[in-house]
Amino acid sequence: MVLRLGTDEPELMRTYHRGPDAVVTEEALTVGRRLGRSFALRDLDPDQLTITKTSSGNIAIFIVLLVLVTSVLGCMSVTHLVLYGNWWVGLGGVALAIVIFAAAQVPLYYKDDDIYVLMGVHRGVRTQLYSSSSEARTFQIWYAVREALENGPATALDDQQP
Amino acid sequence: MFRRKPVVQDPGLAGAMRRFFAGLSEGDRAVPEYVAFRYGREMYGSRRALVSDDTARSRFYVGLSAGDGSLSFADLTKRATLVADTLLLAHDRTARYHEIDLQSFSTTLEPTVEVPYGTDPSMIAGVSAGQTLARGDLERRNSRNTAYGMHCPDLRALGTWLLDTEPLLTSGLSWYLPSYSSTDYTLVEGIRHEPPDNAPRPHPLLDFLIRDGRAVDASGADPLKSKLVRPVLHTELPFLQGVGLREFSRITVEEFDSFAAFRDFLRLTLLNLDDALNDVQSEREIVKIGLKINDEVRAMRAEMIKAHRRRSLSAGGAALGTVGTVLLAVYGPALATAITAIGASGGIWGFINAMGDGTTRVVRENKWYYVWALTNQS
Repeated sequence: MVLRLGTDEPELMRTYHRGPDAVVTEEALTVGRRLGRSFALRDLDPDQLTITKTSSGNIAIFIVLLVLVTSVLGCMSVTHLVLYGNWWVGLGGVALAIVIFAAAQVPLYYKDDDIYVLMGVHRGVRTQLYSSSSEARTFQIWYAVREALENGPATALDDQQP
Repeated sequence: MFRRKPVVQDPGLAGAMRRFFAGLSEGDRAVPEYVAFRYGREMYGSRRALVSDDTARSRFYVGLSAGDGSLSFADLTKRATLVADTLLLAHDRTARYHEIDLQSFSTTLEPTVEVPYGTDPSMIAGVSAGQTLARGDLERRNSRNTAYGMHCPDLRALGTWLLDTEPLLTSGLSWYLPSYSSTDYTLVEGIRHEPPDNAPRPHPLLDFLIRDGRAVDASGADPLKSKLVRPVLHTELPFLQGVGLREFSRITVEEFDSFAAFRDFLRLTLLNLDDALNDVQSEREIVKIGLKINDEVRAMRAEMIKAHRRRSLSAGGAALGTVGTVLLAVYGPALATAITAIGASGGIWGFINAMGDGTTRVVRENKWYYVWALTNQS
């Protein structure tokens, strides 16, 4: 059961896709974890729906932090070794830096850094409609919106069709 | 104990299909429309290598374009696979166009144009406040582009077909060639502008076009192919009814030896149809072929049920595959004795007797085993 856009009346309408973070009905695309943002399909330009791929940028921050932490640890250890002659502290620090660096490769290997963004022109303004790290999911939303736009909202005449 | 050697009809094609399916994650497979899209994107680069002149000229390489949709893709696949070494399916270029990816782009931004440093980016359409634009982004937002896409009435249905026919595709027995076209458009500040007449440009290929359930020559098809394809598309084949495409694909690959024997039988029968017959006579002959197959299948099913009832002991040790479990139950010398006692011979009895020989290989190579396996699934 979905509310018709602009009314409080619950009414059955065709749903093209229903997922945890997006619902596409014959009238609107609703996105967000709490499905809080809605785009009326009549306000979308059907020829302007595109999927673009961008890098999230998190991975770059992660790499910078990783290099920084391991470098600081390495420098502190070498300094300790040279100034105070505590070779075991120095070697321990270097070993720790190596372990941290090696362990960080695991999330780096599995991290999916690409973000797929569904862009459209909403009320004449180019707008981000949906984004996900999964290309398949973004494509699914794109396809559902396209289907809904092509089929249009159901009319009373459609209901009378056999 | 020993794994059966995988069936490979066309090694190049089978390799390409295996690579494609290996690249799909579980999440990807859950979205059939995306599977079709990925397929279209991956085949774009390799389509020329896969449709080499040598393979396309092969006697039993059949190319069909789905045309008006009078026969479902699943039905076309099941029927045409029965006579083709490799079946190539495609959609008509009148089908809906789906853009896949960019083929080329060139920027319309003047080289001398400076990126407006310090300008409030929120003033530029589609750019949020606080976001900066690199020159590369600006170039992409102002460009002339050529995109390619594929014609397909329903990507979701195509994706489901691809997933269902995975065993056939990865064995090189069947595949789908997307009908590609390309379109030109211009981006101005990220907004797409298309020229008024921007009909997708077509690419050539294929033997037959399916119209009203019949195969119409698309590119001067080999007469031999016509003799096989035309009748198989409208012969009544009840053993295919009720068998899902997924099951059909699995059984065809798993029981390949038996399938190949049945395919040869069907080819031979169809090629024996006299060219001199007129339409009514040839229609009558086709009906006869259908009836003959039905008769064999019915006789086999009846005897299998009868033999199964007689057989009470369990069958252990042998491995006939999933569809062979009922056959296992009837396998054994007791069955051969029972059949001899009844005094039956020939046709289906050859098949039942083969089971009495004690070699599953013989059973599985018999053409009626394949037909029976399909019937058993329906």
